[in-house]
Amino acid sequence: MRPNSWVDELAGLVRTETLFRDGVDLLSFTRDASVVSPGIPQVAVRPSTPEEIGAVLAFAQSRDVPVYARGAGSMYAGGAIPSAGGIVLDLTALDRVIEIDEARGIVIVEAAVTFGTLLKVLNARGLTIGVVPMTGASGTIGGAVSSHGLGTGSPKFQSLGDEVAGLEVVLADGSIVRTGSAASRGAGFFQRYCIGADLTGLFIGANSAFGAITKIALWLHRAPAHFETLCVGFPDAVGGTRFLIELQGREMTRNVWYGAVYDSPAIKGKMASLRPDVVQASLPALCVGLDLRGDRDEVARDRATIIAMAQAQGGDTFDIYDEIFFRKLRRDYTFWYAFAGYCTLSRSALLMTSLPTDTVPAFFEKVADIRARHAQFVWGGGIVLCRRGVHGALIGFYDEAKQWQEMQNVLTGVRRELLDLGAVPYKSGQLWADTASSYPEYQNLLGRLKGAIDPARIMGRGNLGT
Amino acid sequence: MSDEFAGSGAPLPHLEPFEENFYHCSACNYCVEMTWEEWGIDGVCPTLRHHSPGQGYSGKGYIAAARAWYEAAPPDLPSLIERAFTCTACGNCEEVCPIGMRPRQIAVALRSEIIARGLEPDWAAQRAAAFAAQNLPACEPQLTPDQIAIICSPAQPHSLAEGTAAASLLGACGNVRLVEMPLHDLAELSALGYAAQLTEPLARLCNRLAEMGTRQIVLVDADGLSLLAASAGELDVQSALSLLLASLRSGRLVLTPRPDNPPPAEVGYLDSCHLTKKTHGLASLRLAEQARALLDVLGIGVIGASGAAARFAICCGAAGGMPASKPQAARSMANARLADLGHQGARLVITASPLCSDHLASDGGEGVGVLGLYTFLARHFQPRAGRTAS
Repeated sequence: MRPNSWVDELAGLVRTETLFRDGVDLLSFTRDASVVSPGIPQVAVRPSTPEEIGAVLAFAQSRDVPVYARGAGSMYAGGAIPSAGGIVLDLTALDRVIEIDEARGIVIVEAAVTFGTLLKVLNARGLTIGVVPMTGASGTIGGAVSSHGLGTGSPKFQSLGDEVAGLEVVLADGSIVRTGSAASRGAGFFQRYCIGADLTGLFIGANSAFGAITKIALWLHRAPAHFETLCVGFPDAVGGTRFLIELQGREMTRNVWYGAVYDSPAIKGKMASLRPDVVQASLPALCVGLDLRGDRDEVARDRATIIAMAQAQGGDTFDIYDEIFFRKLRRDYTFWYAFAGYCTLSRSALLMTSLPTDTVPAFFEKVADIRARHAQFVWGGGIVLCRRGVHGALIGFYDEAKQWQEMQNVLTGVRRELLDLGAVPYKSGQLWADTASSYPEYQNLLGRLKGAIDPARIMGRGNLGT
Repeated sequence: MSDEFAGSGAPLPHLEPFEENFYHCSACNYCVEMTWEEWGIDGVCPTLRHHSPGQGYSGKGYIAAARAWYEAAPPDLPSLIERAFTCTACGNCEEVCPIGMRPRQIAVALRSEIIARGLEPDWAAQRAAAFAAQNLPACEPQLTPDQIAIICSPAQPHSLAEGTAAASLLGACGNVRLVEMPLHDLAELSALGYAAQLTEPLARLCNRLAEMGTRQIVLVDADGLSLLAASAGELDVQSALSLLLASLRSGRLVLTPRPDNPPPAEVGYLDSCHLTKKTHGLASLRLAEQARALLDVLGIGVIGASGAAARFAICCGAAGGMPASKPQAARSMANARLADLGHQGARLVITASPLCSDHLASDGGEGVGVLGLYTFLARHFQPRAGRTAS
């Protein structure tokens, strides 16, 4: 059999205009936003329906051809990179907002609807969704759910996965399944936790290891009437962390749609560039930025309570940081790409982890340690608040023309150090695939499930758990 | 694969300036597809939308292809040539890029590398040959120092019509002379990737402008402004739009509605990409805002995107050679823009770009009429000198 004869065979199965096999078109599918090395697919297919996807997957299963589902390809974990070649399943034709059901509190979208598009549609009705990943202008909802993209609504809503009410998935054998209440024929999406085990969760963050997500039901929320921001600063990380624990413990995150923690280098860097007149020695060692949305009076009461909580831990309002950076970030730059470190004109390697809140000081110490030991790169560290726990992001900026391999080598050790700190991978993809020995039983279970659902292991080869 | 493309290490003078871009693009996908309501962005690439969703046609695809060529060799030569020359070169991909990458300029650089090897599509080569055959004017009419030269392109029907109309309007308050020069053709060929071949013709044109005897040069096709910016020496170069608005505001020119053909209460207005997107070097002149101000001064309402939404609007398909390379897609782009304005209530769409009006009007226009700005004004207004005119 000629090496690409399966491509010719596949070409006979799909509509001509949905098959892409020339080298220039395929180049755009070789990478995502991560530091992971590219992979070159033999072909990309752009189906329009779950049935067309099913036919492609059934074919791939029968020919043992790897398949990588892909939305915008803007994630940082390498989950969409076709490392083993094969087929890229370009899902971007699935771009319809299917239903907005206010009575059920559900919006149902196809996988490639971008967050930017959905927010526009919902905004016209005074509605919104709870969590918006920072790549949201171009990021697809299917891609974000599949890779468990980090959301900006975390303090109030926890995570994007918690906002998923159910899914439609084309499994690796080509069959189509719905999860949550929609699993019951005719019931539709309105409840996630029903009919036994939560199989919705199996597909969230799995990077399409078990199948391609084609529809997503998300919980709807009323668009908040009022928006304001608050920054509080602390002279040390310990006091700031006690504040965070109390903020979460007293449920004062109820109107916090986004929260971030900035360490001293981040604060000093921003202030030096935007307010060089402010004496650096007077700056806090830790800053917590909070995006408050909701009923105006309730937000005002929460604000006063939060400030009092900060003061009780030795902190106080840090209005100047709010004014020069945080308010602008939240008001004008909903989406991370347009404002944050990506503006440094450099590729970035992003390791996203989950941490218990009380490890925030240790995380920032680790960031400082990594910064000192690997000074050939520029490092940033940041914390995003959740309702419980936090997400710790370590970003290393590197010159891809000269430092790509070196950064990949350094990250191998850094990933291990973060695990030793108590952090766990948040978005896995291929970026964390070498850490599976830290969770052998879990990995074993994933492998067994994988074998049952995808016996030829065609989906997402090289990703975690596959 | 052609020998011209084989292996790395061959000089790539047109791509080299973009090396930094190859390694800094962060794969955010903004240049492929994105919506951001607060910023007035609703879609990005006209080619992906109206020709093919193959991402080799996207800004991201051009960067990836250029990097592949730069590091080794292009992966698929016929495909690269076809994709590089299937781009409106509108620059919306650059407009939305959060980190200042230049995919539109990289697409043009890819074209230049292909042209340097003599491998460009026939339609592009024929256009370049036709320009060369024009034998740039050896002798333009001699003007007096107080005369204003209104430049339009002889090869573009709408440009000539617009130039004639602009001259009739501005002639009421000043001593103007219509001069046919292919400046706009130069700008278009530059976007096709022929900039390196245009240095000498541009210098000759500038010399002719300087020798004409006047220092006041007014362009009907504003895209020539970017070409002349660095080459025109001490000549006073501006767009007809700017001069018209300034003349109206100063009272030197008065436009009175024609009783036999009064203007409509409102019109659709379409901005050409070269006036609104920063990659073309003219956005800072704010000519798009001036066009709206001009209509506002004359009491005509404007239908259509303004501000950020106009800045990020999707190209009508007139530019970059699209009508020649992919006429069906170019027509689809035009119809989409006209349909959008039609849905907003516009029965007539005007634009300050002869290239756009030529393209938009070429096939009936979805039941919506299309006119160049100056033709529209001359048709509906009687010009006369104001009290401050000399």
